[in-house]
Amino acid sequence: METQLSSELNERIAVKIENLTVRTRNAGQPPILDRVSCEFYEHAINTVVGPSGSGKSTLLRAINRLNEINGLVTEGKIILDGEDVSHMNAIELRRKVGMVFQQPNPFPGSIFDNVAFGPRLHWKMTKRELNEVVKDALEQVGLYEEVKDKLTSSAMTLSGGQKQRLCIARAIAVRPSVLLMDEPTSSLDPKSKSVIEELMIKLKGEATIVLVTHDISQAKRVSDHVILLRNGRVESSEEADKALGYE
Amino acid sequence: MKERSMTLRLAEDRLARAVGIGVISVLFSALLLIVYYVTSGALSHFSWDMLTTFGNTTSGGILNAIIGTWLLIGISTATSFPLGLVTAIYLSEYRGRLSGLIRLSIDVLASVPSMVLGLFGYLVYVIYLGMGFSLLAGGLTLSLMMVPYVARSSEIAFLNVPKELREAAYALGATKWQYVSRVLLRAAWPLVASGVVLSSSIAAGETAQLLYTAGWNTGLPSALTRSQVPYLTYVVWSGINQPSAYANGLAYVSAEVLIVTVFSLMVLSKVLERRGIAWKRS
Repeated sequence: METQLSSELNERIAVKIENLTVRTRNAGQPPILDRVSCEFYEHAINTVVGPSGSGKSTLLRAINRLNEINGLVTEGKIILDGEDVSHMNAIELRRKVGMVFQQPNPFPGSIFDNVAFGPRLHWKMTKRELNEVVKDALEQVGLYEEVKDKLTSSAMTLSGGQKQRLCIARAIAVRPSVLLMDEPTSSLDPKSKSVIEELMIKLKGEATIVLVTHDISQAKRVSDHVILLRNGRVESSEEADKALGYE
Repeated sequence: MKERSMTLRLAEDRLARAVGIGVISVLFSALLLIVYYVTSGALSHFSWDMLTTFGNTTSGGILNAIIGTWLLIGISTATSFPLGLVTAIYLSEYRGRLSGLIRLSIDVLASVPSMVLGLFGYLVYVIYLGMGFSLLAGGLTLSLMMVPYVARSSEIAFLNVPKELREAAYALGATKWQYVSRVLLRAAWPLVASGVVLSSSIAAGETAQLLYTAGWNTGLPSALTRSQVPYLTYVVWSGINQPSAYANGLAYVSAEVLIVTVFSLMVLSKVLERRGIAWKRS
């Protein structure tokens, strides 16, 4: 599949996927992804669209090898920072590649503990350093002013939109270079959806974003690059304005 | 295609409902009869001295038996909890090659008769390991009965933790143990605790195992081993067959204390269970 992109995007490939096939361990079943090849571009919102069951989420989870915990088999290559992710330490890979899920999924515990979860896993920090990291992440997602007086409160007390922003803060607190977002607004009200979309546009300056959505209007609003997936195969990979019919 | 009779369908529904109510009534009546029989017997013999003094099974009180029962619950819970919890973690998160064998072992252990467990406790703890009739021998034997309950209820608690939390933890770079210790246990602790408390309530009412391992004491044990321990079910078992009315009274009061103890533990278990479910719904 030939990628139709401007030279500006072409020079900044963050993730390159080559002949990726993902299947279940059941040999009789067709593959979920079939020889997929595509690129995701740095500091851009790369959107994967397609009908239900086309393999969008599986493609996302292949990048951070999260398919492994579900027992899926992966063939092909995914290159991140010049290295094949299958050869990387999975823990270090997942620090570099953050993920936000469709349903907000804060951990049981306080707002502070949620955001601090990732940094505590990977780094030894003083309390002051940790406080700074948490504050910075919450400020980036525009949540700090809303929760600064209740950081020790349970994350479950937040609204749906706030929970999703908290999950984004949790993901970016470890400073990933790539942020995977699997339909992050599908369970949110329109106002919260709009806030998250603005956040995505802001965050692409810090990290490469790979977004999965079935909402074409959302794709039109935020995307720089669009990949259309159908039946586990890439049908097209273009700049957003060409892919989505902008003038 | 012939339409089913609405009258018949409604009649079937009413019949099923009536049978259900009937069965529940029978069960509830049995429970009420037990409580009524024991409570009325206890009240007719009750004096505060019975609850506040030490005694043997024919005179004095049952304070030593109350304390001894709680000591046995404490030892058995402290020893069964880590074993059951680790087993549940292994079965739900690691799922190694031994999972099938471990699950079978738990099921077999759960179905071993109390008397057989008591005999095992006597031969191994009392005689072979030289503990004698004691708090430790009794507690460890009780814990054999509790481990399957703790393991099963903990595993169910872990399965109730949304899989999205596992994915989120791994996506942040957590190892399996980091996920278990920092997310899973934290999310599941109310339901795990509920299962532990429930198994403790079952242990509180055990007799057969303790007859072979705990002995009896008119005071309190002076050590974990080689010092016998009193317990409430012994007073019930021994006192109810005595010709003395006072001994019968001690048996009834002990039974009443046991019912209150077990009921309180069950209520605590339910409160913890609801807390676990409420978290999941939030």
